[in-house]
Amino acid sequence: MNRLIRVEFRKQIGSKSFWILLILHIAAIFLSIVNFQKFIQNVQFNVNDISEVDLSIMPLLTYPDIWQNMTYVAGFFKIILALIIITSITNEIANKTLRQNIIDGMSREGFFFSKLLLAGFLALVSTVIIFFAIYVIGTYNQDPENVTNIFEGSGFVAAYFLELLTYFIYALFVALLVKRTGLALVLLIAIDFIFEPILSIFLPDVLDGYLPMAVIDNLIRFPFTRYVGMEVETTVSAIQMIIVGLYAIFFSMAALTWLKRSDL
Amino acid sequence: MKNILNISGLAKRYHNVEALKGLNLEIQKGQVYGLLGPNGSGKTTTLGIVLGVILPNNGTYNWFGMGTGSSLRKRIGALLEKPNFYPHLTARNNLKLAADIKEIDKPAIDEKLELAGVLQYANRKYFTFSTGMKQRLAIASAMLGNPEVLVLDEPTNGLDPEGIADVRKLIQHTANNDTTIILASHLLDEVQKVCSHVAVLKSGRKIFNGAVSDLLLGTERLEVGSDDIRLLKQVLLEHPAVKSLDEEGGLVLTEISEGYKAGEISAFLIKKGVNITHFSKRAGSLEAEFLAMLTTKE
Repeated sequence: MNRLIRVEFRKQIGSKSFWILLILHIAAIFLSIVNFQKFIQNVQFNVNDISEVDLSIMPLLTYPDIWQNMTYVAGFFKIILALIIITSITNEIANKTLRQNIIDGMSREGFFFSKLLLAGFLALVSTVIIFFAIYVIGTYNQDPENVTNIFEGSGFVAAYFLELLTYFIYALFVALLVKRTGLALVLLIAIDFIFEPILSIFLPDVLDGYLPMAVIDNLIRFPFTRYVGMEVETTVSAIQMIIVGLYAIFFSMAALTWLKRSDL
Repeated sequence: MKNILNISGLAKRYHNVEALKGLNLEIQKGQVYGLLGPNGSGKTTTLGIVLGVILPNNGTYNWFGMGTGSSLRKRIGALLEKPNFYPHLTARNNLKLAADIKEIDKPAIDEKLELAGVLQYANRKYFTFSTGMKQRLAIASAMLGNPEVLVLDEPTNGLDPEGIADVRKLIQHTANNDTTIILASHLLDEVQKVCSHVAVLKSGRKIFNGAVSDLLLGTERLEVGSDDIRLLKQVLLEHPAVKSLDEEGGLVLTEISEGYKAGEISAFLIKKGVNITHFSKRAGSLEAEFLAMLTTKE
């Protein structure tokens, strides 16, 4: 495992696109925090009521709401890190370095596992950043007169990690399948915003919430309607976590099977 | 002799094209084994399969009598088709990565870069390399860790004459160290110079397999010169051993039947009053045999 980490580290360390995308992801998270209220109002999330609300008086960035609010917003930027996964796969295919890795003695399982480690690493980096950002901002905004358990609601950070990891594994599978960066990215977005919504029309209501993108996106529920008096899910559903975890396993197995059955 | 690679009934189909049709091969330790064949004969497919990047439809192969596992490939250095490296990494870092994959503790990277003639470019990024430099780097990478087997697919592609000579020297030097070498090349002259054994493939089938010396046995010709070429030809045709006559650069080339010695021919010519100005043996050419084989054998 150490060897696989070292090999993947060597591959990424000199890659400009890796650093640019990683910095872009971190910058996107921080910019959204700095302009949190504006960000929410601009996005609107298809809820017109939210634009009518004075968010400056709402406890957006205080405990415990901050855990759900920030992990939900940060989830929008996972596509930037998914692009690292996609390019790391498609470049290996285009430059035929995947082929050379195998010739040099890496097993196909080893190659897949090294990319899985990259996915895990990126999900972890983003999770650690979001955790500390929440901790710092939450503590800063905490009313000293009204001390609560600051870790109440921190389960959303674990959900955020799982959301990212599963999405990255899914991106890995798509990249292996289509072999081209642009196509993989378009497909990833199209499945999320076009194919799944269309498919859900034809599926029974009980099933459409369990399509892969839907279940990943719904792991952290849209939290802001609570500020207009609507009820929202303020905890992470264990069932949802298990389903997302199963999707992660399914996409891993699918990607590995595809890799093992392909000529390189 | 120890078996290094055993191929049995290997078959590969790409859609409706049969690239390999039940290939059998055996390569022994220490051999410098040439894999010859025209484009599309199945050379690269064969090497791709035994190097684990192409999946066969049928048949088996076996490295070192032990199997096909990825750990066995770590004992092999290989260049398949084109050099494949990370463009954003330097030559040295690319080799460090390859050494990590091969689990080589002390890869002696600079030594291999020097051997391949690219040490001065060690810190340059791969995407800045010329075709020849890329090829040399690939050879350096294949040599990492002094592998037991070296598989080289068209190793002189993109190299200038000096580079080709360097690769030939490198192969000969490596072969002297008891390394088994499998070499696929279109440059038959190169193969003849370095290979001890060859297999000739045509349309996915093996049409010859054996020692180069066996292939060239009986293909030796005599080069004879005289100040009277007309008389020389006339007299040569009188000798029962002479099978054919050709003229090339003022010399007569003659193929003689097995069992006859060159000395008998020269004595016959002198006896018949031919003034001989040149008399030597010309070794058979792999190229001529290869071309003859492709046109005659199915």
